[in-house]
Amino acid sequence: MSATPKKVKKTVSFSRNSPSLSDRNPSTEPGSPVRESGFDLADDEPQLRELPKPSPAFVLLPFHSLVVVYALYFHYDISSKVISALRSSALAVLTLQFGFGLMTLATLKNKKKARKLRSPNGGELMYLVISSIISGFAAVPIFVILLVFGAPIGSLTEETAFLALHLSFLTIFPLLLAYKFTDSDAGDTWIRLLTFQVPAFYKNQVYLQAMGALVGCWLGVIPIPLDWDRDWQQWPITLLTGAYVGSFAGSLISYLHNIFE
Amino acid sequence: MVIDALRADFLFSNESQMTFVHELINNGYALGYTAYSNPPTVTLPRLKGITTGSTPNFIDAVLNIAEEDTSSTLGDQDSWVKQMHASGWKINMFGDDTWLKLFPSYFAKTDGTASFYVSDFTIVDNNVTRHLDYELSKEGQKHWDCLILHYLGLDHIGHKGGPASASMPAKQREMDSIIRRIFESAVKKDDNTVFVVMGDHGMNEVGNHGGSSIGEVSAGLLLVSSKFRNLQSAQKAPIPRNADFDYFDHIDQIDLVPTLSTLLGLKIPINNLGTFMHNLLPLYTAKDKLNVLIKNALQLKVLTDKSRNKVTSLDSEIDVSSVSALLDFLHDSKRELSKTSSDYNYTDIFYGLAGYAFTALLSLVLFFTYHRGCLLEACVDLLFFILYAVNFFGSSMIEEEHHLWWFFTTLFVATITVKSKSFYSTTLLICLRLLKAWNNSGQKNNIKSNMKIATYVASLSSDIGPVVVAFLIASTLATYCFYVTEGATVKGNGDGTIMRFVTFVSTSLLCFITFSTKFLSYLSETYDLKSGFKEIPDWCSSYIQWIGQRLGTTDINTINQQLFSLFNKVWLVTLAFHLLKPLLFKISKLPDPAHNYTRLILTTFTQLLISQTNFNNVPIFFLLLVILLSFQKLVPPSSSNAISLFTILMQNLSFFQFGFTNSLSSVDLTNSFNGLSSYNMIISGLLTFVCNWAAPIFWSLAYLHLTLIPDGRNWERLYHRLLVTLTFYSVSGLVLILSCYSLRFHLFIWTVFSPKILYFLSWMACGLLVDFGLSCIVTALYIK
Repeated sequence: MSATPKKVKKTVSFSRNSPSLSDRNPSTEPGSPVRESGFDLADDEPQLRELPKPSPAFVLLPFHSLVVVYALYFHYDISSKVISALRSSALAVLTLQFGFGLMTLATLKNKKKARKLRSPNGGELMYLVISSIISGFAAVPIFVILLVFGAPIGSLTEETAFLALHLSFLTIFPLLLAYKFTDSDAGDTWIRLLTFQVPAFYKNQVYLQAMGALVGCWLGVIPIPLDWDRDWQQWPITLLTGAYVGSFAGSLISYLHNIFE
Repeated sequence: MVIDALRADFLFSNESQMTFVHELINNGYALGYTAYSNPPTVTLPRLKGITTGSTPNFIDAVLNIAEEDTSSTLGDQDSWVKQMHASGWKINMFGDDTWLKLFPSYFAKTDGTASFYVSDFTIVDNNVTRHLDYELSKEGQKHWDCLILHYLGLDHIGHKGGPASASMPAKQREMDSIIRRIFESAVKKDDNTVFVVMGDHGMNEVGNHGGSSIGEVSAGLLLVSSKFRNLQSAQKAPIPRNADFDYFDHIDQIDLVPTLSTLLGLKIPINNLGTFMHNLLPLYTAKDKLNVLIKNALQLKVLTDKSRNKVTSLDSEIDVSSVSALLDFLHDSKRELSKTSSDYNYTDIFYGLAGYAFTALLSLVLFFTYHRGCLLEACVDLLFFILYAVNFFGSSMIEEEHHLWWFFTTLFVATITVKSKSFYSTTLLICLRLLKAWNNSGQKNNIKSNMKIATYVASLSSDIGPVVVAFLIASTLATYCFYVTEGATVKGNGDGTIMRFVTFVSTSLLCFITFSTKFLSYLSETYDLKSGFKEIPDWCSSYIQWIGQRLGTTDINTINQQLFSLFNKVWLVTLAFHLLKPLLFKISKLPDPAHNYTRLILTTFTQLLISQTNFNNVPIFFLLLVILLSFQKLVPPSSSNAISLFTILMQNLSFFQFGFTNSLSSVDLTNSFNGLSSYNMIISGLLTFVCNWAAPIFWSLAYLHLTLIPDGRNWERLYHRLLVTLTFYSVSGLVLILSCYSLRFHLFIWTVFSPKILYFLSWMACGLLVDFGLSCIVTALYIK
């Protein structure tokens, strides 16, 4: 639960960061009328050591996210059968993510080891299975976070729960690929990942993919109250779409950023 | 006979208790209609529509509340009342005094009842019915040609307990018996009498009205006459209750005007937009049919010519000898006229717009001058204001404005959370979520998809419900009692304990009265206590009896009124003492004059706010306090921009989470007469305001509680907050006016945008009275 509020931080600072921006340089301006101390919470980011970044790669782009969005609408027909589409697509997403995971693991390793292509071994397959299970369970805290940030329960509990599961696949799973829980400093790394203490996060393709999913989900809520009375405005279709598109966009932004720098 | 808020299903559905009405329909004496009442569905504009046949002016919805106003008369406008008067009819009017306000000089005999004393279900109606003995007698009937009765009791029941209230069936039976009396003594034997039973508007699912939901616009209408038996109507009542309010023919309420005028042989009022009800045509001979329709058509033709700016003759447009052509013409011109009937005075609009734009510019200049040291912060604030204001261009964003505030607030709180990494932010977030879950505000989709804690608590069964409600109210009040005492120690001297004790005792006494009033209104509104205390647990009835003995009365409403007036007196004394405390301490040289000052003011005001809040919403004040305390832990008093923004966010968010929306139907009138023995416009207006703006008042005082500290810069901080608030209102108000101007031909201009402007005006009043006035008083009396 302690991660609850922190989880959404990054999504927040994209659109509005009034206190943080103004409080970075609190007492340096004598002209500023009221400010004495600002928030007493010192910014400790500069002292953070950098997390190991997965190097950017074209194959790391989650193209399957776009495929999932397409399939949700045209294969699973989510706008008329919300629950069943969410349920059956969850399995497909898991499979796709599994494939993406294999590719990612291979890519990340190959980058490290002098570009020699190598098929995944049994240990890696095992790792992927366990990661999938972990991301399945991570849906529970995500559900609670969604709830606290205003997701409806009652007649819509099931929809919200599936949204949490999908979000978990989109955020926790890719992060597990890049930051293995088997590493020696995994605890420290994961605490920093979950509390948004990632310096130069925009260069980190996998991290930005997860963040993009959160931001997309956050922004996806906007069309719901509009009075167009379309089927796709039902909870949680727009959020899910936003999350999938966002995860791709996040990854793409990071990739492009790295290319053009 | 007008029965206020008589929805169509109250007359015609199978759940209706009005069996005599059903009998009349089945025997062919009566014709039933579902009459569309044009929004705003409030009594005054509706009565204008029913009498003149025109579509209403929106300002009437406001004048409806300002009872003593005279600018809303219809003295000069043409109406069937005026026509009757001109034909020398004697009109007697009993009931709602809105009629007297509309027609001050036409009635021969009147007895008005005030329509805003909503907690009274019986006396308002008995004051009307008591005249019937004489008026319906042989002797009495000689002295009138038209009798207007307007019953308010049913509307009051709706406001208090909704359409499914425990008192509703009895009231329907009462109305039914009055209809029977009138029918049997005046209509049955006399072929030339027509008897109209109608609601001026309907009510929504919680019993309020003013907006444009299907329940509010579907009023019932019943025409009764012995002549109608010739029509051989095939109507059969009752009709199964349905959600679309589909009962018999659908007509517009204004159609009554030409119909009534024609049936009675009067001239049709010139501004009428209604058309003759065509299923009454068989009453006439073939030639008269045409005459009736031509009369109506000519009258409408004058209006269409006026709107088109050219005069043509009726013969040139249609074939006047064909009934169907005439009916089509009537139908078309009605539609055309209802579209163009809104007339705008552009010069005044532009003056207003220019004035507002100037103010907005001025406040922006002040805002940026003040923030020249921290422009980035100012720009972020402004971005937020503009982002919020842009939403005024979408009608659904106005209807669902609470979503916006929830979105902005969570953004803001998440930002704080990230900065602080403290346990309190979790508390803050959870309390905000509970606050949202309490009422799940909004105008649509909020019933099926969301659980509301308030509804859940209110619907608990009678063996557990009173316990839960009593516990929730008592614990909220107790929290405030302990909160006010916790910090009340005065260091050093021995009188600290005394001060503390006195504060605790006085607050507890006040709390006890508040508790009793709220708990009693819960009991009286949830259970039918008129017929004894059988439905409620023993401890509740002994509690009521115990209080009743102390006050020397047994009627629960009288008890509550007495408690409220006691509360108001005690509260005024307490508030005066707390406000003047620093001054008194300073004069008598007691130590630490301003100690605990803001906390006392906040707690005392909260007592008033709680007493003015619906019992369902009382526990929200507990959540508000927890939110305030956790915020206090997270943000230091010096970061004034964050606190000012938070105040605006919380003012709006909690306003909506009390269950209010931007629709006129959600205005809460149930607490407007607490403790008043007679109608007083200013005081009941103030009480209504406090009842509806309780949360913004709380947060305005909470701001002072967060920022009043003895460092001599309080005025500076207050100025900053007022500047932020001013900029917020001027920027968003300007955009709102622009959006209303550009969307003035929008379908929803009268149902969504205009109410929003009225709400916005009230927000500005809140800004002026509370954010500015009250804050200045409290700050000025903070003497160290």
